[in-house]
Amino acid sequence: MFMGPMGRTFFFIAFLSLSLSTIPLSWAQEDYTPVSLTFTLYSDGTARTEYLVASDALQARIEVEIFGPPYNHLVIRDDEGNPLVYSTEEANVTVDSLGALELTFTYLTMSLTTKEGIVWTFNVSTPVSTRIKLPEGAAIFDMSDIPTDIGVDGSRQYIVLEPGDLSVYYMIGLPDVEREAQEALTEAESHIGDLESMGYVLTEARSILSQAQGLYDSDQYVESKNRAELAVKTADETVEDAVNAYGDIGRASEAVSRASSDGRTDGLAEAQSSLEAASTYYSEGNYAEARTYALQAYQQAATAVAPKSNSLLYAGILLLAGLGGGGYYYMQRIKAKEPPSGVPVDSSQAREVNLDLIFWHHQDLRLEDKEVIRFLAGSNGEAFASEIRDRFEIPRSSAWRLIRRLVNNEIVEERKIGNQSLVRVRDKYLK
Amino acid sequence: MKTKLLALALLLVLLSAPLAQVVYAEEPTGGDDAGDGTDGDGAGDDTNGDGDDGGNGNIDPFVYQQIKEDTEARWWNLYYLYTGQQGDGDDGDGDGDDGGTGEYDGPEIPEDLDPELRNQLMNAWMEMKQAAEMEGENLQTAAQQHLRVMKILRNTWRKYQKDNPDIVDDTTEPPDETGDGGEDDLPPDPTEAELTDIQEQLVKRFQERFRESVTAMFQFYNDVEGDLDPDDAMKAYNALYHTEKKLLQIQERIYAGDFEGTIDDLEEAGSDLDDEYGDMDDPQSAQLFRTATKLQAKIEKMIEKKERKEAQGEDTSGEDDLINQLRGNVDKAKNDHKENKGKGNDNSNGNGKDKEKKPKKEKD
Repeated sequence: MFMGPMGRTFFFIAFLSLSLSTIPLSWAQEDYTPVSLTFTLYSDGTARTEYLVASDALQARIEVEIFGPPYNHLVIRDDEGNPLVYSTEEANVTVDSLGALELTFTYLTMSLTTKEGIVWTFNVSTPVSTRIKLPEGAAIFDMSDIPTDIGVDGSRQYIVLEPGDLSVYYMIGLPDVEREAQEALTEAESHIGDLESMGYVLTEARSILSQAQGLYDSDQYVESKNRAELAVKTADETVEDAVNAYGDIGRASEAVSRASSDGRTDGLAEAQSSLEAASTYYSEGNYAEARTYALQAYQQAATAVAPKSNSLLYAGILLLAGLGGGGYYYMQRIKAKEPPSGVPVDSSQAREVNLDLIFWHHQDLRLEDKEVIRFLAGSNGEAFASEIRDRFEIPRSSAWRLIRRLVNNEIVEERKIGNQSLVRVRDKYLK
Repeated sequence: MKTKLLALALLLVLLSAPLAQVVYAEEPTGGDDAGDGTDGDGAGDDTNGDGDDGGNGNIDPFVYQQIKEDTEARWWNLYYLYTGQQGDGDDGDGDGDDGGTGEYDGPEIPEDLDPELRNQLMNAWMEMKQAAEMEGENLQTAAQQHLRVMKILRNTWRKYQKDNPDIVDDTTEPPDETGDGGEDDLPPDPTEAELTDIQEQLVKRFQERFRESVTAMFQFYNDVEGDLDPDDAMKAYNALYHTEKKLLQIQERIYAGDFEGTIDDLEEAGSDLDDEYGDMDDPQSAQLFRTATKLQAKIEKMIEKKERKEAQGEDTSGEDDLINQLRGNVDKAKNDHKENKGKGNDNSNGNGKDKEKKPKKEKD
């Protein structure tokens, strides 16, 4: 009232701008009122939408804006559950509501989610409080605002956000260290058990595996997993030692027998004693000591000499008889642990491998196993383990496992030649 | 001059008001940007801000706790992923070095980790600690702080993902989920035949309810006629009369089994009724008829529902209550209108002659 014309103009413009700012509210007044909205998200990015709106009992047909076109499996039902006829144009759905008091829109859409690496983003603008259920196993990684509710529904985490421009970020497939540790423990237990069933004594590997289990029980999953893997590695190394010790004992035994048959009885008793110690350590699973004593026995047998007098000769004969008995006893023990006796090595004899027969009998062979068999076929049906390792450039433990598979499948047999392991295709697969 | 300045200031304030939300929405995450050039992923990528909502907010303590736990879990998830070390949810034992900041007291982060990731992990940890300290003062602000931490972590993830595509690939195996795409959770889509059959029933029932509503509105008209301007009374009567006529025509077609175009006609009948109410001179009277017609339609719908439930032997007390409530609303609208008129708040031309005029009702 105390304002000039200019002042009144300003106030008019101000009033006008204030009025204009309320226009969206006016537009929002539709033939329907949003009641509730729920999005259930799935791990492939699909969002299942359930949108409930209150409608006018006087309306035969209404137009409702829904979220995230294009959509699949859109079904609209009235408050009695009757499916209604509709037509769509982009986000607008015209429904023959025929006086329904409530309409429920159910559909699937994939246009509300995007993915970057393992992080998914869900974006939507909503006119009503919105419940978002995350995929199973998903973890929230951010959201546009503080939710009014948050919790777990079955196996899904959910959040409820106020209406507006909503964004929810979530991750699927986060590393599950607990599960990985459990898997490593199971695998280690299985692997070590298999080796033990073959007669190997794996004390150290068992001990490490026990530590791994203890770490798992105290929720130290990463360390547990590392320990479990170490247990497997230790078991493999121990088995490799065992194989080597087995070979060394065999070599020492042959040396002792040779010395005995040659009448080199001086020092032979020490060799026999070392050989027995090696055998004892082997049976106890102390393969390193077994190798040491086997080597010692070999050297003692190699350096044994013939006696210089008749009395010594007689004594030597008696000793030889004793050693023969001991040797026989030892060989019986070794044989008890050894696979069926092999074919005598005779490289002069041509051995043509029947690859077709092997592959027909063993159709589930791994690719690398087949390659090794082909290699053996091209090497007169046999090769040393070291040759296989060199040829395929694989570690000792891997080669050992591969050869064990072929032995277990009765495709090849393994024999010790000195300090070497000879792998031969079995006779039944020769032409 | 003072008035003009005041007016100008007010104008500027009013004009800038709608922009406030935009400015809010674009607020960055503070000084915690990973700085890898990958920050900012478009609209909606921010919380509402700084947590400065004034006061303790009304956040549910349970909700806050969940946000806090989720944030901390993400921190440990990423810590494990980036460092390959154990992330057991331990609260930190103070063995972490401070990275030169003198503040970090979380678990040790290896020196060989990318410096940017290392710094961001430490920042996020310290922000989580600050949020925890704020819990006693303002839970809402503390919650906002946790959301800021999530953003920092998300930025670290972007960088890590960019730098380690192979490792990320190893972690992207989604868990097995029954009904992965959601289709299994949906009931089967109705068939065309089912839809057509149901629609014909619904059209018939809607037409009947509409007609019942109009019949009830004639009674309503009689009740309020005395309170209406004679011209408006005539317009209201004619609106109802026209609508009834159209509905009867539609009914004849429906009974003859001709449903073609009936929904269009029913929609048009409703629209025309609304338009004719709009022709009334007194907006309050027009609004009264509109409101009463809608309420009446809802009453008819509830009566129909009640009858159906009664036929099935179900309890109908809920429907009875609602029907009574709706009827009460009709009476209230009627009374409010009458009172307004009684207070002289009528929109007639005031010469008193119109009051004497009887409405000229159309003849068929």
